[in-house]
Amino acid sequence: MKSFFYRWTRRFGIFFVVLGPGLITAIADNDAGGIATYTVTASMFGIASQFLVIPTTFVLGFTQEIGARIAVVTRKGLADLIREQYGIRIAAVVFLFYFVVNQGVVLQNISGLKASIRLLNIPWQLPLILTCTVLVTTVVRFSYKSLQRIFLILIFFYLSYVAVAWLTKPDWVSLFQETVVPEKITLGLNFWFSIIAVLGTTITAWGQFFVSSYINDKKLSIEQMKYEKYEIYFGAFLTNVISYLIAVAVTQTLFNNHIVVSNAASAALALKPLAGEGAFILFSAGLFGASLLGLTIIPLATAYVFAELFGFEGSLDTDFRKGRLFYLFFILQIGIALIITLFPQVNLFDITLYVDFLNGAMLPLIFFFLAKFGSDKDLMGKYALSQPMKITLYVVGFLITSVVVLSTFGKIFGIN
Amino acid sequence: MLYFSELLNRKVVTEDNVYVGKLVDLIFKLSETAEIAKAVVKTKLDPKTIVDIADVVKINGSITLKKNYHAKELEENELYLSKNLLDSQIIDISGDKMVRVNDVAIQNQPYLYIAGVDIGLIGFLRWFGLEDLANKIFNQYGIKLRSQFLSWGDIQTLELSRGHVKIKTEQLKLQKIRPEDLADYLEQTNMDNIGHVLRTFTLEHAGEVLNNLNLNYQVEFFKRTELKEAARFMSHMEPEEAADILVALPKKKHEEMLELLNEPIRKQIKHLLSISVSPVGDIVSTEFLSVDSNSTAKEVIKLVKDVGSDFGEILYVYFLNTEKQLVGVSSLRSVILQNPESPAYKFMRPQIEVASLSTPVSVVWRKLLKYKYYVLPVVDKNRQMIGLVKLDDVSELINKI
Repeated sequence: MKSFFYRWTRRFGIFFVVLGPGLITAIADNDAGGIATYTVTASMFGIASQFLVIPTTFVLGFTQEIGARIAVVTRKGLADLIREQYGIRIAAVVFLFYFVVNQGVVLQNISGLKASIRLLNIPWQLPLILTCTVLVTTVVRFSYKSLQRIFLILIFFYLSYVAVAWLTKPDWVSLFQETVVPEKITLGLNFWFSIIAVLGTTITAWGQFFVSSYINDKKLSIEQMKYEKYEIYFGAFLTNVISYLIAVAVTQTLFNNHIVVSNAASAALALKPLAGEGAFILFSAGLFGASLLGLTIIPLATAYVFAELFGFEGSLDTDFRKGRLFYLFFILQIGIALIITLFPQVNLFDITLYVDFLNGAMLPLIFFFLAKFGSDKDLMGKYALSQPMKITLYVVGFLITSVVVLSTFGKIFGIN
Repeated sequence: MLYFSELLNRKVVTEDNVYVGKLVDLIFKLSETAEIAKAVVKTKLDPKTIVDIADVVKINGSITLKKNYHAKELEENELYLSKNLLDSQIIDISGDKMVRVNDVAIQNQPYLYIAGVDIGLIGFLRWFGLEDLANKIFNQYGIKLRSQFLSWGDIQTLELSRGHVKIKTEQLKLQKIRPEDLADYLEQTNMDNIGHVLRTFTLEHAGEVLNNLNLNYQVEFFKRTELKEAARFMSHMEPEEAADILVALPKKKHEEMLELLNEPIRKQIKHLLSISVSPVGDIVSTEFLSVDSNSTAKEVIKLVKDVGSDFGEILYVYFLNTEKQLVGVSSLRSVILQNPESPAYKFMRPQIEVASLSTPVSVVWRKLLKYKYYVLPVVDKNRQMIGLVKLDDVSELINKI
């Protein structure tokens, strides 16, 4: 009995040691863009918009786990391997695409931040600039360990969605039934496009790069991989629980009252008369936290990849002098997004559309790299992917890519 | 000067203009000179045909081979240029990442060798054919783009075999390293570099570092250094170390140096030299275990089991390269602790203190005490192993004297 207890406390301890990469990457997939998508689709189709929540959890966990495995075994990030195996030309092209895609995602998050500040009914320009300045200074100054703590604290902002969902007093049983077997709505083309959009915002190009770089920065060992795997699936699970709860809250309020919204901020406002001031504040706080986390993690994902591809020192533990170029790219992406956001005439909706498309277009390439490196015996030794895993990865990659591309075309041609 | 980016994927033909394939890689010798030894050609039959560089008649323009070229194989101490060097991470002495190898510069006179690696923007742009364009644009604004270049001499060849492109550090940083560590570091670079570094130091500091160098390096350094300068360095060393070096130097240089040394140290050295000069040759034991450095830990252990009963005692296993030269040592304990499949060259200790047959017993005695060894291997001029001297035998002899 005693040894049983000891064994489990030990396992639990190791789990906390590895805690971070999987959880943070997965949760950051629910960034401002993600929350907007869950909200808008749930206001249109109710909880049925979470139709694919279970397969999405598995796919997210599965792909992230492969990225993590490659990182732990080779001690290199995905971008390191791309440069070393495919040379400078491919590396440069990948980076160009990646930079543009991430710039778009950063833009989504900074406008999410702007929206959450505007909900307070105060002038938003100065607070936005101040928040960005604090964020940049924090990331440059703090070490990996302290930053990870901040990231984990930011995750607590998502708890507000748990509270919002609870405030709307849902009938869980009927909601689950409706999720698995949607009845209340006609399952037209629009519905499928929405489902796909939900999936597409959860599986991202940057997430695949970030998890491997971040694991290397954490310096996990191969013995810890088993626990890291649990952590990744736990992160995927938690992420999808949160997106589900957002959909629950929106379904209980907006959808049931036939209010369709076009973004997360208007959803928050519409919540006020239906679920009360508390729900409004919680929903806004959630959006604020999500935007802030996205605004930190995604530019970091760009900076990691830049440093790996071109061989510069790139770790959250390096000081600014050594990691100049690493931090420069981090600051650059936030700076560009901030300037664009300060000009109110830019149409963010169009930008978001193209970003989603580019993200979808990048995914097959990344899945190809994952499968290629993951099954390379020279790199992975006995940890190489088995044939079924490799095939699963290709199938999953193909499916996700096609649905993301399809949904984007759907949006472009206005089917939605 | 050629760049690898310009050679990669070039057409390879024979002298009578028969198409062979495309150049996909080069193979170079892992040495100070980094000679290009072979070329790798992708042909229809074999994606990795290795051709001796002697069979390459021309490398500018299209690559031309002799009519009857020979296929070769990769040998020990050879690395692929594209696979092992290009795009690799370059790290500085403290292990910080600096940049990646963007291109490799190859010198074609008097023979083909790697001159250095390009780590700059120009090296990056060359891959996209944008070198000239970028130069033109920047020239208009009066900015001259310069190649950033790391010469081959700046790269630690030893580390390269372990898959790291590590550079030798700036002199300023070296000043701050403790003499013991600096000596270890210098032993891994080359002789020219040792001289170069030591000359940037004060004589006191240089003397301390010299004290900590392995005797072979000390002797080599003083052999190469001009007489007066050598005497200046030696005057700042420990008398014991200096005496050991003088014994190993050619007789003429030995005597001339002695005359040039400062008075106090000269006295001490003369005294030391007058004590035992009896060579170690008399007490060499030929009972030692040596194996090829490619053997795995498992094979070494098996050998110990098979022949061990013939030995009085086995403390260390010595590793030899293909030329039977001593290249490493490992304690039996360390062999047993290794992963059975691990090859010896991965776990052996490559820096070994050795003695020669003519090394005085007093020198061996001091070495054994200094490094806390029980035995010291004895090698001949070609660094082939002759035998061992044991601490107890040396102690006995010293006691008699």
